Amino acid sequence: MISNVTRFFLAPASAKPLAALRIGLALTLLAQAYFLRLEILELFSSTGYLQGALIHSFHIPGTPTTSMFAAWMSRLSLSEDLTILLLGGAYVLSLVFMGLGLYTRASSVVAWFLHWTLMNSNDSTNYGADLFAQVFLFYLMLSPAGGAWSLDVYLGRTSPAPTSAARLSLRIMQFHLCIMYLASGIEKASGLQWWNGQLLWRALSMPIYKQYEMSWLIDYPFLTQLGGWSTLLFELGYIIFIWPRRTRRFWILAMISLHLGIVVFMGLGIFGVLMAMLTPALFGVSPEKGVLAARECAATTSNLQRGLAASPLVSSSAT
Amino acid sequence: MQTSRMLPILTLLGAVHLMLVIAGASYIDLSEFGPVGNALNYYGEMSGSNKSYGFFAPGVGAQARTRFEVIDAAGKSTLVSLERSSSHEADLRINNITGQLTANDGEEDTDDQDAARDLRRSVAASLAGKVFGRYRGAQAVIVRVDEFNPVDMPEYRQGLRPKWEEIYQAKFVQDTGIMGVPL
Repeated sequence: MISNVTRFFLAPASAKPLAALRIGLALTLLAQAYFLRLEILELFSSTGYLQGALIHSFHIPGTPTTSMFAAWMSRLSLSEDLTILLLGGAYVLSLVFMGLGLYTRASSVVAWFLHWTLMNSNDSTNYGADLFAQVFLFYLMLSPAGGAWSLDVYLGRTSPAPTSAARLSLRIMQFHLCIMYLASGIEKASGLQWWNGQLLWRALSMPIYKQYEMSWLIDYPFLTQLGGWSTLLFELGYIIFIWPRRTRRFWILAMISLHLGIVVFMGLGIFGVLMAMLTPALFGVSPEKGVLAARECAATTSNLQRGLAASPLVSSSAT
Repeated sequence: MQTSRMLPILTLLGAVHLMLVIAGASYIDLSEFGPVGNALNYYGEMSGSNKSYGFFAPGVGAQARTRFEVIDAAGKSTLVSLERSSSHEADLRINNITGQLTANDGEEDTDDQDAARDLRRSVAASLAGKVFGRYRGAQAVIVRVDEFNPVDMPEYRQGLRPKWEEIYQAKFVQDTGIMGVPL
C-alpha cells in the first residue's frame, strides 16, 4: 500500500506534461499581453483610468506593485510610465524565454513575479484568467518544467532524465485542478439557475458575453438545461473520472469542449483557451512514455556496455 | 541524492499547499488565525492557493455598463464609452474597472456604505477625468451607469425583454468638479 502511494507520488516521471503546460501557458499569456498592449499604461499607471492616489486603493496591501517599482525608479529619474513599460517588456521577455525553455527556472520566476506584480497593481481589472495564470506560473517556477521540450535540454543545460520532482509537481497540479473543478461544481450546483437551464440562457443574453443572437433557444429550453446539467456533471465528476484510463480521454475532450464553448459563445478567449489547455497538458500528456524510453535507453546502454566490456579492446581502454 | 533526501519534505509541503487550496476554495479566511494565518494568507496571495472558484455561481446576476455624455461648449452632447474595442480582453478589464461604480452596493454597515460611496465618487471623477483628456473640447462630462438585468425564459415568453436601466449618474464640469449627485 505504502509503496503504491509512494510510486503514485514519487516514481520518476518525464517532465513532458509540465513542459506542455509551460509552453501552453506562455503562448496564452503572450497572446493576452498582445491584446492588452495598448492599455497597459491606462490600466496600471496613476495617469490611467484610476488616477492619482486612487490607483493605490486597488493595490493588494503588502504586495509588490508597479507603484513601488515606479517609486524606486524615480530615484534614477525614470518616469512611472517608462517603469511600467519596462516591467511589461521584461514580463513578455520572460514569457518568451519560459516558452522556449531557455533559462527555464529563472524565466519562470521572473514571469511569475511580474505577473503577480501586475495583478497586485490594479485588483479591479483581474478576472479568472489572471487567477489561473498566477496559480500555474507559481507551480512552473517550482517544478522541473524545463526538463522536456526545452532549449535548456537541447543545449545540455538540463537533464531530460525522469525525476521524482516532476512526478510530485504533476500530482500536486492535478489535485489542484480536481479541487478547483469540484469546488466550482459544488458552488454551481447550489444555484437553481444551473439546474433549470436559466443560467446559459441568461449568460448568453448578457451584452458583455453575447457573441451571437441566441434568442432562438427559447424554443428549445432542453438545450440550455442540457448544457447546465452537463457542465455540472463534468465539473463534479472530474475528480473521479479524470483518473481511470477508461474515462480519462472522454473527460479531457469534455473539458476542452466546455472551455472552447466559453470562447466561442461568450467571447472569453484568453480565459477559455487557458482553461482548455490545462486538462490535456496535465492529464493528456503521458509522463510515462519518456520514462519508458529512458528506461529502454538505459537498458540498451547497459546491455551495450556489458557487451562492449566483454570485448578486450574496450575493457582495456576502459581500465 | 540531495533531491531524494528532500523528497519527503517536498511531499509534506505539497500536502500543506493542497490543504491551503482546499481552505481557499472553501472560503476559509486564514487571516482570522493570527500571525500564522496572516503568513499563510500572504503565501496564498503569492501562490494563488487562497482563491475560490465560484465562476458563474450560484447564478448570473446583472451587468453594469458605464457611458459618458460629453457636452461641448456649444451644448452638443455625445455619448461615448471608455472601451475602444482594441480587443475583447482589454474591454473586459475596462468593464471591470467601471464595474467599481456599482461595487459594494449591498453594504449594510453605515461606515461601509459611506466608504463605498466615497470610492464610487472617486472612481467616477477619475473616469470622467480620463474622458476630459480624450475629448479636449468637453465642458462637462456626465457619468451614466446602467444596469442590465437578464430576463428568465418564462418571462421572455410572456413578452418581457431585458433592458438597460440607469442606476447612477454624476456630472463633472471643467475646473469646478462634481455637480450632480448619484440617482
